[in-house]
Amino acid sequence: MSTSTAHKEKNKHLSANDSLQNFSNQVFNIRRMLIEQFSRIEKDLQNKFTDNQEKFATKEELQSVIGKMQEFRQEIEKTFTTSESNPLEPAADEFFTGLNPFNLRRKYHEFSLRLRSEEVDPFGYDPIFDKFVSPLLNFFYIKYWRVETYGISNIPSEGPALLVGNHSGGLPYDATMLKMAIQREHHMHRDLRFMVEDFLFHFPFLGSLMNRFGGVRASQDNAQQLLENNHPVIVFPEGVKGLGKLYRDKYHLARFGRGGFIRLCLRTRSPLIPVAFIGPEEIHPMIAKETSISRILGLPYTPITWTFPWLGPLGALPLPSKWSIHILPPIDFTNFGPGAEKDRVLVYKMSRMVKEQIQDTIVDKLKNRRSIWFG
Amino acid sequence: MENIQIHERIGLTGASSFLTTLVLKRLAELSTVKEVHIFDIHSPSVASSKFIFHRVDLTKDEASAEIASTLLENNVTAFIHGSLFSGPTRRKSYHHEVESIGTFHILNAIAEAQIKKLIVHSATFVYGAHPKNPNFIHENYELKFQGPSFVKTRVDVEKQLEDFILNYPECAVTILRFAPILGPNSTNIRARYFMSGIVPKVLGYDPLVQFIHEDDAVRAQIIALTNNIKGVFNIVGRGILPLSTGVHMSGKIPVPFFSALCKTFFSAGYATRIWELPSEIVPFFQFLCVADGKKAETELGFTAKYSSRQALKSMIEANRLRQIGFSVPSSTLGEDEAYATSQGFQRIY
Repeated sequence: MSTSTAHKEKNKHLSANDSLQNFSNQVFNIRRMLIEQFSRIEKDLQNKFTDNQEKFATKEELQSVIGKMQEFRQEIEKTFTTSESNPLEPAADEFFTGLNPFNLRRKYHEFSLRLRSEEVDPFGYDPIFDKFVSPLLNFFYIKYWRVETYGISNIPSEGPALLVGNHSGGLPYDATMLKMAIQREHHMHRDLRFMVEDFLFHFPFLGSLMNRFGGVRASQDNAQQLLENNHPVIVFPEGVKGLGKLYRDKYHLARFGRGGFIRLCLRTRSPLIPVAFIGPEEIHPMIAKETSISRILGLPYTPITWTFPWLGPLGALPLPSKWSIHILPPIDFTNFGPGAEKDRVLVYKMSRMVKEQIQDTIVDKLKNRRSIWFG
Repeated sequence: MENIQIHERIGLTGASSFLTTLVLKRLAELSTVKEVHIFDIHSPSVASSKFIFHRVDLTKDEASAEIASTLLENNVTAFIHGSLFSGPTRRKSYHHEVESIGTFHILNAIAEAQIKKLIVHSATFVYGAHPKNPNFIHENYELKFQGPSFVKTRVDVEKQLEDFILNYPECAVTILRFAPILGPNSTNIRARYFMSGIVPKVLGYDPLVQFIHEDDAVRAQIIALTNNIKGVFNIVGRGILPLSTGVHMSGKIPVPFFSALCKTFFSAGYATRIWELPSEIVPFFQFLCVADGKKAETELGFTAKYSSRQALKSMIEANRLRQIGFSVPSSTLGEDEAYATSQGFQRIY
């Protein structure tokens, strides 16, 4: 069935060859449509397979169908995309072929330039760098934290969206995993942007790393500009208070700022999507905060976990808890009039509502969780 | 097109600065301009029958009166204040005197002569490089009196101008905040960074940087002169690039320093003249200082022709040619002539 549609589309292209612009548009639209449809069918089957609801087929039969679907999908991807392979492998080969002390410097610069995009996005996001780190993040997503994402279809396929989540875990691991989830499982494979706390930009490596990967310094201006450019953005209204949560306060949301995220939505008319993360609050079980010595060093505090200062840098590794990400239905903001963001009562009440919604979801999901490590 | 304004007689300071020299070249070609009165201590390197040179030392107390009397005598209608530096210089106290006291005198003279139009060449470094900066800084971002001394001096200048705008609303003041100007002829601090054989950098920091091509900068200045629009505008090139991409484009060897030791190393190298990068510039290699050019696009009608990457590329290419003896003609040697000549720049008269 699917092959015949693909052939039809191809024939259509041949006949409509007169205008190049039209043609490329058509290819793009058809490609998008096909991919959308395929991922929908695939997901459906996957759901049926996991729930084992379908009684007419055995597991093996379903498996084979899924396998076939994936083959078709790859075929279609191959026919419709231009030859764009992983940029790293040929680059690495090229780096070592014909290498001698005299062209070392030139090769080094060429190699480094190949690992980055020609021009980065205005906010510093570099798609080639993103591809470069994705194997590692895939490992974390699939093997290490075994992330399960629910309600991915609540994220719109185009236009801005403001995601609001509970924050924890020192570095923005949660935002990174949500980004991976959207990149892997959303049918439009959108690139999520996340807000990074100010203090990360004071440290070497972290700030620029996060920046190339899609992180932007947390500020109202930046979030608004990203939303105006139709990006999905995740913000953590808990901020540093969320990161500095002690283990005994886990899953208790800290104060939700001054409702800046509600004002942002009212201003840009973008939908607000609450997100509940289960699992990241246990990756760094912080039992205490050390303040007196770190004050002298100019840091706000040093976290003390079961492992951290004792095992050295090894202790800074996050623990392998089982994660699940619950994306809740969007809240619409298009019906509010202009100047609604100046209504303090409205902003406060909306902010409370979102916080309670996330908190309730967390409590609800924790009820059904048997183990921190195995879900 | 009711905004277009014709100024026949123009006053100008800072004739030997890089941007102003290029602007003078354009003014010499413009047929609408009849006279350009230049107030400076050195005569300009561009020659034209339109130029009338007045030797004025902006750091002296007589400067205000001298400039005012000349402006009144000659019926000057517009003034370009270009005697502001493009970055830190070796003579710190002189730098402060020229920028801060010089602006004071010029504003005095303009108030006295009732000039209708003032254009100031500022730079985006007034916002300062700080980890708390937003990704795109708007014109109305509050200037903070902090950071290295050249930033503080410029903030002081901008504060004076703010005060002037409040008290003399009849004078249309246009402040152009240029991103670092790069191009085949530029010798400012950002250009010097990519010129030396070894490029020092701060370990683990890779900020986004933004440049503007010299042709675009001149064009923006001429647009500001001919349009009757006042306000503050960021004049920046299209797009941004990470600093390390720039280093790889230049093909020089990057040498990373630990951020804690950076200031010491940079100032040591500067004092011994190993490189021309003072420690004051270090935060600009660590943190963001990128301005938003949208306002200039909508209100001033200026769009950059070159992207930041193209500006940098043109500078690097001209530099490579210069090293093998192809001199790219340049009318100006910038603020540090000795350095520019040592790098192979030749002045074409």
